Amino acid sequence: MINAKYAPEQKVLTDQTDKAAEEKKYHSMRTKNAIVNTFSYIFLAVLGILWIIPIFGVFYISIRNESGQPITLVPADGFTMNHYLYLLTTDEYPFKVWFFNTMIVALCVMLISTVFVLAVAYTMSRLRFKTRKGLMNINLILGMFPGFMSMIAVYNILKAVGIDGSLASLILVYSASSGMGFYIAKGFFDTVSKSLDEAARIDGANNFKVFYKIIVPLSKPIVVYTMLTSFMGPWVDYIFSSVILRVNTQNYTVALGLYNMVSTREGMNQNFTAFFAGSVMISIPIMILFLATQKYYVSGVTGGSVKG
Amino acid sequence: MKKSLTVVAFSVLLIGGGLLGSCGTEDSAVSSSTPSSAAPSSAVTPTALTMWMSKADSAAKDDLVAGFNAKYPDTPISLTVTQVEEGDVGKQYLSDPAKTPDIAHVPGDVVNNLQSQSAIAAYTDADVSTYIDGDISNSTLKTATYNANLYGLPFSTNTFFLYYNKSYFGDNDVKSVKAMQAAITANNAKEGAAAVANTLAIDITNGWYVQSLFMSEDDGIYADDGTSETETNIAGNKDKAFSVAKYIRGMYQATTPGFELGGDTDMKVSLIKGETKAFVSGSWNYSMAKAAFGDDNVGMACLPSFVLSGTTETPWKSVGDYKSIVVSNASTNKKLAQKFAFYLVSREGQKIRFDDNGGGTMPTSISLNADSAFQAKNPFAKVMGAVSENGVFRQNTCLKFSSNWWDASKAFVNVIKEKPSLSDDELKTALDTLGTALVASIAS
Amino acid sequence: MTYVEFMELPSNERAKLKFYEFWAKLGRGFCNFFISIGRFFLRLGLNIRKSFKELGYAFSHGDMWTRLSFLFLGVSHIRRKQILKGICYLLLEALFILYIVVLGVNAVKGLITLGNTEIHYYCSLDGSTIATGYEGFVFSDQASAMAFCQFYNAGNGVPGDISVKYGDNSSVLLLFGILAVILIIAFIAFYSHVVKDSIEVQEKKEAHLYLNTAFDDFRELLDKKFYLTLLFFPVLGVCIFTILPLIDMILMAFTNYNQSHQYPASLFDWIGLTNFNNLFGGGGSSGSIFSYTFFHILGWTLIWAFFATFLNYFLGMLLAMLINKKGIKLKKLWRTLFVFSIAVPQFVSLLTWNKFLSSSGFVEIILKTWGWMAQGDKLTVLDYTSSARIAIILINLWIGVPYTILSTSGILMNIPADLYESAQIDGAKPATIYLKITLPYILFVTGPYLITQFVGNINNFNVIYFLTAGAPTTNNYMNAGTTDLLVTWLYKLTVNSANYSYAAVIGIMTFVICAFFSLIAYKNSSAMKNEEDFA
Repeated sequence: MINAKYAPEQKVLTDQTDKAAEEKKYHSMRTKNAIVNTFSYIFLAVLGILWIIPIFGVFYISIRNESGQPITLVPADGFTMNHYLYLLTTDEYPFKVWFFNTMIVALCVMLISTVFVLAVAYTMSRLRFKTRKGLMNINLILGMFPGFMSMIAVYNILKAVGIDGSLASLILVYSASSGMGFYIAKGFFDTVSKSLDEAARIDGANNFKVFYKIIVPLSKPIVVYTMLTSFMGPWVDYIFSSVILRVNTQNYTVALGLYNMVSTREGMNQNFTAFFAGSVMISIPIMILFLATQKYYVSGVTGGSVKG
Repeated sequence: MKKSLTVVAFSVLLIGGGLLGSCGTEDSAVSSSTPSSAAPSSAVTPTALTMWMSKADSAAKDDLVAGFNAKYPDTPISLTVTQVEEGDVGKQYLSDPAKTPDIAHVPGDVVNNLQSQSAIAAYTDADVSTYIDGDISNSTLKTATYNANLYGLPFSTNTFFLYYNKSYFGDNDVKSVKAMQAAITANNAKEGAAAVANTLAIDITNGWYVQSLFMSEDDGIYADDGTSETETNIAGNKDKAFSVAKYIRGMYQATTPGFELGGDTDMKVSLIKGETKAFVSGSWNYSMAKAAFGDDNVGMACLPSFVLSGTTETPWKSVGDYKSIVVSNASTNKKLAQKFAFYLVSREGQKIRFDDNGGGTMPTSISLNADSAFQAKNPFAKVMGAVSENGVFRQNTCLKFSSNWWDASKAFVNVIKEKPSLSDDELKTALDTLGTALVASIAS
Repeated sequence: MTYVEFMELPSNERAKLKFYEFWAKLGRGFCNFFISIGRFFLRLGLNIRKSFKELGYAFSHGDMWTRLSFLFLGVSHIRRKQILKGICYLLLEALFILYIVVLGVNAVKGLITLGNTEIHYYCSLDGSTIATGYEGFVFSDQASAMAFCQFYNAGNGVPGDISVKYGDNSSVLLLFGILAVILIIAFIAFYSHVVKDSIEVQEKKEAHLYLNTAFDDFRELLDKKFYLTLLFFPVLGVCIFTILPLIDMILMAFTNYNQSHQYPASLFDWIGLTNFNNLFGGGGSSGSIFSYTFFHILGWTLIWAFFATFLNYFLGMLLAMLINKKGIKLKKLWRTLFVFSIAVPQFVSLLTWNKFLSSSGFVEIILKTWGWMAQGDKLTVLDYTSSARIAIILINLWIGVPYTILSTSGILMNIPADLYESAQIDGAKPATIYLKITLPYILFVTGPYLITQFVGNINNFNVIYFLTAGAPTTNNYMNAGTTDLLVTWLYKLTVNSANYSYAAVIGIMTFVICAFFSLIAYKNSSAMKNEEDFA
């Protein structure tokens, strides 16, 4: 990679002038560095503020003492936490029910998705069988269709089995096809050294033992990453839940319930601030979860790509 | 290849077997089943009915059920209400025909759509004369009648009018746009007066309101009194439509005073700042009027007349819509559901609804409207009465209206909004595109 | 041409060569695509021929039990003491035959005809049951039924009301027809596998080789055939919830399923390639507006995907490199600051941006307070097409850059330090280091990720739908706005206009486009080529 143009120069410090020149070069490089660093700090700061402002905006709107869209920078009637109380206690918008529903769905989806993804990723990465490449190609092709395309047919299938509109159907819709998203996990498994497998097999373990006694304990980053991403899914999805749940309001998830609060004109005028209060309430646990597992997230995404 | 085909085959076969069990029962034709509630009996187990209503109306549910059961003790019901906002009802109703509620509140333009999809049942003439017996005017009933059959029971009038600041405009000032502008200019010239920039505020990109401008010209929008599915009075350089388009362009170009033509938020800002002292809206925005003008200062009147071409004043007719009650064709208790629907639309039922949902629209029951006690309680009684006389209700009943008008009109006004200085030719082109879009087929 | 010869050429010659090579690769990729499709079918045909040959062999060389297995699956296995397996096969065959007799034949018939019975109305006395004596009076629409039944007097009292009997539901018939076809194909494959196994079992027994007991089979599932155990449920889920619905929707593109042809009012029917004909401009006025809308939205989708992907990528990489630079302190703070925005759900943050940027929103208020905007003006960013499109691309940066920062940071931290050290010893300038070491390294590792991102952005629903919902609308498009992507247009056609057949056509075209780009990219990307090198 090193271009031949940059052949090493012969540097010999023979006399003082050279030394002085060296020192000057060192100082000018230091100031240049300092200037670059300052600009970098400014650049980062400006962009960082830009990124944080909407999040702060969400919180700011949720504590304004008005019910509709804001028309002044500072609310005329001051600030209040009433919207949070309203959401937690009112029957008209049963936020607690939505929260509970979403929690159930998210936990089930997390469990099923993680098992599916790990199973498929391990199989594609480690086990060799005739149709491996074929299945991977089919998976690739399936992934190129728009996700929403199959929604109507899925709804008909769920109706035929009789579970449409229930939380079980939502769980199935989110997790049944999760095995298709195995690429990152597979990349991770690709980098786990094969010698471990071989050593275990010499000791007489079958594939199953190798999987759950050796590989799974080693894959903590990717397991956490998969659990995190599949857990977050149901909290933020509106499209699929609106098609599956339709008017079964008792099964609404948080995203569906909140979005319906503001989807009509009257809703915008009456529930605007309450909507943002609800958003803050669901963002906080997601944020905490995310920050706590950030290192797993990073190493999970990239751990598979580089080898020492 | 063979081995995994086996895997797939195995699994698919298993599922086939699993579906076997449930396949046969679901999804069969929703056929007419034996009636379960018609026969009166001494053992009065209430029949369960399902209903879709908006949030505001569902507060009246218990009183309505109690009233019905008291009036007809032989056929009691119990009601399960799902709150579905009226904008959604049409879509949700058609997306799953097997899961329709027995009864539903729908906006007026959805009724035609639902009946063309064979989703709702017609009311027989005998029932109408028994239960309604003239309490709802024939012209009102006609708006929900298609192919000589009544498909919905109109129970609530929905329209808009002019709110104005009573201490700023006199009663005569709001009779025409010209008079309003004169009043504003005069007031602005006075010393120390805060400048009022806009004659009135109206959300012109909303199909609701821009409809009223087109309908004020007697030809209306769709040909054949609004029933034609293939022709409009807009496409093909029709003069009257063109003058309306020019008027809209004029509204965007007007200054001192101009017009506030943005959405709800812009309207609110403008009112609060005092730049506008009048706006066009319906009863749902009463609180905004009170907040802007002060509780005692809210005046309500019919829309002011405006000058379309030359110097003649054209009355600006509000457009209205009747919310209706429909009964599903898939209902297993059709007759009972229809009986309940008639109760809901009777004077008693409408009164309960208005008492419980805080008013804001006008009932269709003639006797209720004439009741002086009711009139006293309802702040909109007078203006609604005036509007009903002068306004236009459900003029466009063709199917294309409900599917095409709203988006097409918004796009049309947006063209003018984007470039208020557009030339006559560009305006004509936009108008033509509007006309084509209005009769665009909703299906191939 | 070797590398040295290549580098010796003047730069414009190099550029020309690279240009030609790109198009050559494109063309080659295209040809490879069709060749691989041909090869797939060829292999399929050969496999089927091989299966027939093996079945013939099994019949001719099999003993009585094996030949019986052709009729009753599993008999041969039972004879050779693989009793559990044999009984299972027999049961499955019985189930399948039961399915065919009870449901399968009707399902396949339904698939071909898509329903025959339309909705019917009858006279009734009470609105639910058919009035006795009036069974013969059948009507196809409510109006004529009501007109007749209310006034016809048959002497025994006027019926007065009507009752309805719903007909066939074409879309459900389509779905179950497809399921039946899939099950039949699956059973055929299963059948041939079992029969071949029957003869194998017989030959192994004759050669006195060891035959697996049921226990052995279970143990194999955990060892040699572990992939079967692991893949069973995930593949099942994908089959039911992805493959079956997808085939259903694809076939809808060949029907006329739309608002005027849906249950319960009417049936829909097969119309072949008419919809695609409309897509490419045939079919009169409705066809031409569909075609116009499609190609314009396609253009915007590609432009959007291009800018969204590459801007996100480069800005994210730049920020990640900046944060990772030696002189910068508080690395974790900067990273956390940018990553915060991932935690807020997209439907909330995009709605917030929409409100910020609309007229009388926060941005306008702030601009007016600072005097950068006249009081009478309105912020119209989201109201005009061109500014809305630019705004969408920029706001997508806000959404997508944190993800890029995360993934790039991890890679940056993992670049071997000795590469940098040797470059610095050789006196390389920082710019050269970034260009020749960091950039190629990151491109190499995340190259496939970039392609996946591009294809993913073609299907990026959330940003457009929640930010502008496709607005500003235009009457030149059919049911779409000027910022709509193909997928949001698909959503609108499905949910708002119930025009399922056109939506299916768009879905298929989206797939074709994505497949086109993926194929070119994957044939090229070296990471894909060197998958085994890493393992």
